[in-house]
Amino acid sequence: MGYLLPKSKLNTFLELLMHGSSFIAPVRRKKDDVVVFEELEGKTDLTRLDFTTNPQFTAKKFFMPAYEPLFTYNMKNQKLTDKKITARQRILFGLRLCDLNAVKIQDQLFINPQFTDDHYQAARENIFLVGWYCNTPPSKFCFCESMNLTHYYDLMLRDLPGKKDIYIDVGSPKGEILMRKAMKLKLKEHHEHVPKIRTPKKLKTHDIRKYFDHPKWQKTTESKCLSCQRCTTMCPTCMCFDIYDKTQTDLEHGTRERTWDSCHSKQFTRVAGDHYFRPDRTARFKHRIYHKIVYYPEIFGQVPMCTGCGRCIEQCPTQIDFVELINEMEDGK
Amino acid sequence: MKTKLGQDILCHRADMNDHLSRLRDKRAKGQKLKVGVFGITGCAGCQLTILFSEKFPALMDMIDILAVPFVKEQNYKGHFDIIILEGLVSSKADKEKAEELRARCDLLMCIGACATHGCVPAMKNFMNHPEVERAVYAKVDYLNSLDATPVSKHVPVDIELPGCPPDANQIYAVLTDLVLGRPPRITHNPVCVECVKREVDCLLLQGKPCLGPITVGGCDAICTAAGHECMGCRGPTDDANLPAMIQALQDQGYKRKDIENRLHTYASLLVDEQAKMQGVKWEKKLKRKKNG
Ligand code: SF4
Ligand code: SF4
Ligand code: SF4
Ligand code: SF4
Ligand code: SF4
Repeated sequence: MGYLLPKSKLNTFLELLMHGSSFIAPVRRKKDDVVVFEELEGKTDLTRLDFTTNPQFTAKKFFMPAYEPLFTYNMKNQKLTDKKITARQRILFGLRLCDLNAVKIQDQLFINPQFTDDHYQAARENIFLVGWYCNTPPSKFCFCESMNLTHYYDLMLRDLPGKKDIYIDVGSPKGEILMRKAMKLKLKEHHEHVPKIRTPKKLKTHDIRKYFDHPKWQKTTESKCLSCQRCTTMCPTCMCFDIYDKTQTDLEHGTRERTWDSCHSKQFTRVAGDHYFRPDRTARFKHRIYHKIVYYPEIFGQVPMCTGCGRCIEQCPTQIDFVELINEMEDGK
Repeated sequence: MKTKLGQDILCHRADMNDHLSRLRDKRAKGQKLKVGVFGITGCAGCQLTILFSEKFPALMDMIDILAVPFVKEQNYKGHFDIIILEGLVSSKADKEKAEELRARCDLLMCIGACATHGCVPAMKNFMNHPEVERAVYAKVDYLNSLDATPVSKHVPVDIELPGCPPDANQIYAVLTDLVLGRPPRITHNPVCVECVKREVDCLLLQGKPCLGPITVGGCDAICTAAGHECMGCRGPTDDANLPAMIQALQDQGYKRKDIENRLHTYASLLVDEQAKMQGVKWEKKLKRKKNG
């Protein structure tokens, strides 16, 4: 099910969506022109929208901020106060299919029958996902074609090549609700298939258990990996966090906070007795890749935890390309 | 990888738990901790970081600051729970002072890159002392100068908070932890982590000589967020991959000599130790001179 939106009416459509909700979209940041997800302040901000680049920093901060207060406490009267979770409706516009699938991966972990993360859930329930389809991959590092992406969105907009319309694919009941906001545009109902995205870059195999002891891992990490953790911190699906208390100087009031953490960090692997269970750089690098490609699908079904967005390659200071690395192993190089 | 001078001693004492439980007891009895702020050779900037912070009045409520010779004439002469020390050992007098202060406190907390790993003054270890002295001072005979070395080279240190200057928020967070008697939380992660969380466009990828990937964070990426590459003032992480860092900078077109100079600006001693362990040979003549 879907609708056809004349390209000339895209702005009107977005304005209607914006009405009454917080609207987050990829824009060029004023200070340095970097494309990031930002909450728009008003209709005039629509001129800053960017449709050509996948934002450098992911949208995961809207589900779980880099630093997130969980509750405040008062030691004197022994009281905990849950952080009020704001129920404001938010529309996340312009996520590519890879980033939409990243939301799916996080949903699987944080909202499931065994365990639900209240903070994540509260943020998530109020978010509408409106995607932007990649007719051509925005970066040469994209390799989503190899990552079994599914149609996980409320709405997906596809700029139909060579036509005057944008096809809006409705992917969920929430998407149908959202479309009501644009009722007065009287869009034509229409259905078409949203094709699979093709990327020149590909990951040749997911079956990498057999390469666990391949010497290439060590060779690459020893010579190139700085253990800087940019890759995991930028990754839309990395979900590890650390928890700590921030006490005010009155020593009575404080906040329990969480912050993103990373398996690339040596300190991450430190446990009681000053023991480091993964002190070796290569072991940590491998853990990231194996968590993404092997361990996660073993637990959650055959979907890998990597969506092929390419950020961890493009944004690695030494441009370590784990896809190339695995491909070389597969090619027997 | 452990380095002798390195970040693994940020909080390293075996009997730390006994000390922490004693601090808890004190608080339970309503006693405030006795704290002194002292300095040896340094620029006083680290002490000013504490004194100029907007949290200072709150700190005065939290602990008893009984000595700050830098701004006070009358100072407590007895034993302290915690001594906060700025500066490094660069003369006989410094060494004696460090030993005296160590004996006068339960927990010794060194703040600032000089105290923790030598910072800029340690550059003199790679030069000829008499020449350096004559270039700086008119009279040199009273100096009794020694190699510039961090406090931990001379006396056991309990907590080290690096940085030139150190981060006021981190100092306050650690002091709060200590007053409450809990183990202080000190990050060992590199600056990049805080940099990405602040959504800074990576300067290294733009070709600037940023040392963030191998530098201990805790400063909230204050420099890179302002557009200036990280100079490594907080010293290398215990896990720094020096050869890869040098190669990354060379790939950006920087000369080996300039890279070596930069690595030696704020953390010459630590970088040298790590270079030895990782088999990195300096191409520039960076040799520790045999001085006092
Ligand atoms: S990885 Fe695929 S979905 Fe993501 S931006 Fe690239 S082409 Fe689009
Ligand atoms: S971004 Fe690159 S250098 Fe940094 S930890 Fe990840 S793989 Fe290593
Ligand atoms: S592992 Fe890399 S390519 Fe895969 S989702 Fe994370 S950042 Fe994107
Ligand atoms: S274990 Fe590593 S790769 Fe996996 S989610 Fe955590 S940080 Fe990311
Ligand atoms: S700018 Fe420097 S500190 Fe920030 S991510 Fe890049 S290398 Fe790391």
